[in-house]
Amino acid sequence: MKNLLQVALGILAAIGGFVDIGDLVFNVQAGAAFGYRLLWVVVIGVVGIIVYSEMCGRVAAVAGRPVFDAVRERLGFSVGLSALIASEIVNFMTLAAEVGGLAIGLQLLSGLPFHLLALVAALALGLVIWVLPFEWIERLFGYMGLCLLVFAVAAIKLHPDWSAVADGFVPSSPPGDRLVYAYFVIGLLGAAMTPYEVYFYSSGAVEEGWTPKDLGLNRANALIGYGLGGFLSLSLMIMAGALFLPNGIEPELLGTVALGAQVPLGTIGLLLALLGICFAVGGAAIDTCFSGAYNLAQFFGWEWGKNRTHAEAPRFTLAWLVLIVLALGVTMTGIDPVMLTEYAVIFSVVALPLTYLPILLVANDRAYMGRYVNGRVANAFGVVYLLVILVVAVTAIPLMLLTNQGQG
Amino acid sequence: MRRAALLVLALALALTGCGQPKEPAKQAETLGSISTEGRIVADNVVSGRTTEPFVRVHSAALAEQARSLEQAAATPRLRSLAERISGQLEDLSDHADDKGLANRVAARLERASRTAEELAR
Repeated sequence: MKNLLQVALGILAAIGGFVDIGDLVFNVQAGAAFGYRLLWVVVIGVVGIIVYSEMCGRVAAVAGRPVFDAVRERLGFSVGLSALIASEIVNFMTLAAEVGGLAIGLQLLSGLPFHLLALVAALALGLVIWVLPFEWIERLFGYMGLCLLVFAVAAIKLHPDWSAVADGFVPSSPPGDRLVYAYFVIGLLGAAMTPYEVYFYSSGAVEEGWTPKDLGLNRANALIGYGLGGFLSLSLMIMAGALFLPNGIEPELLGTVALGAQVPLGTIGLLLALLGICFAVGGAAIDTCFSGAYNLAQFFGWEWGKNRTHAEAPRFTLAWLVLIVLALGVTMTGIDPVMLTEYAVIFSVVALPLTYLPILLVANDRAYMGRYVNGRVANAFGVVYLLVILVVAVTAIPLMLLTNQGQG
Repeated sequence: MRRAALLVLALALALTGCGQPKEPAKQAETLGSISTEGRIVADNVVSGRTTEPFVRVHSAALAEQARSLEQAAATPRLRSLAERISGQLEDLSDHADDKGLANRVAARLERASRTAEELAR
């Protein structure tokens, strides 16, 4: 039981990264547009994030250094500052979208007014971060987010064509618009490798005081956490391929995602889906809120850490408080949270290579890592995925513009 | 740095035009999608497999999507169809636990889906 609880960091980081509000809708849109033909992309994305999370968790455990510490040192002040600005904008836009998404989830559950629930969501997030210890935040949001497993049951109950599902794990020539297909491939890869996942994961490892003795725990967190995140992505896509594609439904709303569990499982499916969505989106809000504060503190050398008292790390505390208040302000304008996360892609393409390159460099530095330096296999995967990240960074925006955000 | 900021701003402005279909066939497909989804929501009210807040909130969100297409409709027929669909969804949202009304809305949205399918061809 204790070992099971210890993988909460990986699960929360993965749930925040794989099934936040934008990803929930994007995965379902991919399934509704191309059925099971994009399942292989999720697998490639999951392997990539496992490789880099294991690497940055190892760096945190051995050298006690989180990602942005490495970014500042390896890229210098001005390039590091560009990475900081881009990642802070991505974090903030995503946080605002998650607060809005949490309010929509609560609204679908309760029927109360959106603006009231946005306020409740922001206050609840602030209270949880202020009061609960880091480990309990991980466990609460990570494990409650697993209510989303209802989509795996829903996918099975919808009786998909399993041979077509199996074929989906092998890349095939796309049906219809090739550009739209490419847009979804790049979007799914970019979503799987979202930078704030590794910011949160590596800082969380430092928060938990990992040492080289915890390298097994690091591997378990990366494998189980991101494996589960990927499994949820696959479940959503299969559900959408079995339900929405044959009915010609183009999902754009969070409520449509929940409908995917309701149709095969009735009211209980709907309630579990909405509960899972609220905790997953709330978890993503906490990931991004902490990531924003971690990055600022690590770049400027402030005291940081949830496990320090607010008086010991006042600027860190102020940073996450300000981020939540500003995110609430954006949410109150009524901006569409799903659209907001898609716009966050503009800035994440800048942050992607500037985040992952320093991780690879530090993980190869024997002066820091000693005998825990990257081996050949880790380096081979690291380099291949760095190339994948560069392709994502270069093509994401043109494809978004050319395909009218996947509308064709 | 200044150039990069301008590039990002230009891209952000370009993206604000994204997301809304402009071609008539595509608009008809989107309306078909909204009406089919609305029909499923209404069917679930009839069979008692849903919750009142979900029906109220989700139908209103779907109605809003149809209304925004009504404003951007490329042809009068599409505008009229969008208006019909948004009206039905608003009724469903306003009477989210009325099974009789949900039954009628489901039938009308089913017809609207077929019309949208014809317009999309």
